[in-house]
Amino acid sequence: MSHGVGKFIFTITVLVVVVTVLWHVQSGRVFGDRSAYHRENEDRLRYIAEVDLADPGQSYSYDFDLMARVISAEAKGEPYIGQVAVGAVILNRLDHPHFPKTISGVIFEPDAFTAVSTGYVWFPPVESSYRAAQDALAGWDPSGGALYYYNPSKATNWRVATRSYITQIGKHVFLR
Amino acid sequence: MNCHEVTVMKQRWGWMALTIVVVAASFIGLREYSLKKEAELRAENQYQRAFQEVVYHVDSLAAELGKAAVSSSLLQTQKALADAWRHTESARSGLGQLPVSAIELSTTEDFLSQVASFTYTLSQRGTSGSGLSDREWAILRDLRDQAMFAAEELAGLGSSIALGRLRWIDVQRESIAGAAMRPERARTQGAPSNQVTKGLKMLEDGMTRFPTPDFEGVIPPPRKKLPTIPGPAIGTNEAIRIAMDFTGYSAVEGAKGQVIATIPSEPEAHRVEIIPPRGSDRRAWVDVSVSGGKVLWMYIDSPIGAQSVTPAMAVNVAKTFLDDRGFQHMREISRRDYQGVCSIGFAYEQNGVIVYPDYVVVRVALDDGQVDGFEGTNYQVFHKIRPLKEPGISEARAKEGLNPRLTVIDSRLAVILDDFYREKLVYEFKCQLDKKTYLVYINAETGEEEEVKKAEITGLELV
Repeated sequence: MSHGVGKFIFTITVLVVVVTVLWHVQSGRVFGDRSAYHRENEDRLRYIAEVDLADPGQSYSYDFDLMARVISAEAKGEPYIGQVAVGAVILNRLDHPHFPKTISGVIFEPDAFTAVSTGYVWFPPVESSYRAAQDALAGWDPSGGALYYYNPSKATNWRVATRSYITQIGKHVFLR
Repeated sequence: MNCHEVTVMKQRWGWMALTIVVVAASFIGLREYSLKKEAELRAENQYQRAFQEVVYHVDSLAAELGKAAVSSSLLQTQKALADAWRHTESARSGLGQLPVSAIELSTTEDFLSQVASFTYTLSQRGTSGSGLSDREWAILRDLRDQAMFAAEELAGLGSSIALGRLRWIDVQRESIAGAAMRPERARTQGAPSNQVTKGLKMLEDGMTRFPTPDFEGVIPPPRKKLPTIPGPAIGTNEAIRIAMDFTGYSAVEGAKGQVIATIPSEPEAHRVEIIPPRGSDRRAWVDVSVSGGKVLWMYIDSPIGAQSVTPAMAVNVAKTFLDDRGFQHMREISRRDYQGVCSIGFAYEQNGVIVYPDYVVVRVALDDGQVDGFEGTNYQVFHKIRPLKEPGISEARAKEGLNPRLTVIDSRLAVILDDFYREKLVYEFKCQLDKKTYLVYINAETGEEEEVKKAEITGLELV
């Protein structure tokens, strides 16, 4: 009988220890505050520092960096003109009364860009996306004046259903 | 220990392990759930704040428009208009933070944009200007009425959100559910809706019942549609030939061009893709206008290596490129180098006058010094020989209009576009203040200052 009670107490103790350890690991108290978000942020800051060191003559602009991030997250692996076209869509929205008036306003509009909703926008961008963002700012618009684009092989916003088709570049369909 | 006891021990340990796993899993699950609830609440509070700001600013906007219509003093009117403009922009910013991308609000958004443009233009007229004309005053009253309607609708929606404990998170969820719909299905079923969505739809429907005031000449037009380029419509074969000549691929054995799409852009264009012969990865894309057969833009895609050409050399390369393609009298106006390429802006120069509306951009790769990009839509659409008038005032007179604290480095005549897309002849003064360079434009007819530009903006250098 006493043997059984001892087992029971032992079991409870083990349980409590295991749960406590798990809880603390979960909340990042055991291995330091290294949640995925913070790790990503560190990478990001390091990356920004590298960009600045590589190109000391050019001042760092948040909006421009953000644009390159969206281009990278949304269109890396697309043909180069497809990347410039995504940048051009951001700028076309800026000029349009139905969209916010700043680049960050356009990009962070709720559910406007999948890359922002999923957080992929915070991964280090590919180099060509910086060039594509600059080209879009310099005036290139391979999207043909588009305000929307979507990937027809994935699910898409119902709102594009009422938009008029302009062209397809790579996997993206561009609409006005 | 007999066989039976061993089995009992094994079972006991099995149960223990299972209990541990279940308890640990439920703790983690509970924690995840409470974190998710917390994050949701934060997002919801952000949305509520954004919405309350829209309500507040639209209400204040209506009040300020009313004040502007009542006031007899020009200064008071302009103060009210400037405040109205601030409230409009804040309301627009708040609207942009709400998860309403799946809800049709274009009339409301157009209205806010028009009010912003109207109040801004009128409030910036300066104290020397005249008061509101009868027509402007009539527009002001129309806008006030519409703003009052919007304010009422929004306030009503606000109280039904508070009373009904409605959540923006649910609006967002429905919009995401809508996003998962295929276009074909969305077309037949329409957008999903809940109470908030319905309230916004009521607002939008009400806004469409107001007639749009006639803003012609009062505020800058929204963005002008580009006119078509004069000339006969060209076929695809002609477009390919033009693209091959422009990129220099017509001299390359084995390069093949094809029209991959005809695009309803402004102006309409044939998109030509040129595949180089085997062994080269320099694929090219060229947009050739259907009407007139002009090259609007082009890219030659190539990996960019280590820099071996200076931006100054790149300018010469670009200049030769333009000369060879019939773009005469082009002057460098801006330069931007980034990630191994240099984009150089050129404007047409007519008898020493820089015509800014007729500009092109040429991109040069700094590894091999080859032109790999061209953008000339504005030039191709607008370029013509203009009948330029002699300036009404001398350069010395115009200089008197400058801020006396500036050091003038350079000056020349130029044609610029104003907010209404009207061309104006101006003196351009390149000036310095505290080691920063600015371009100041003085109207060559009236001597008034038209515009001030900073000559260097994050990597872009105006020359």
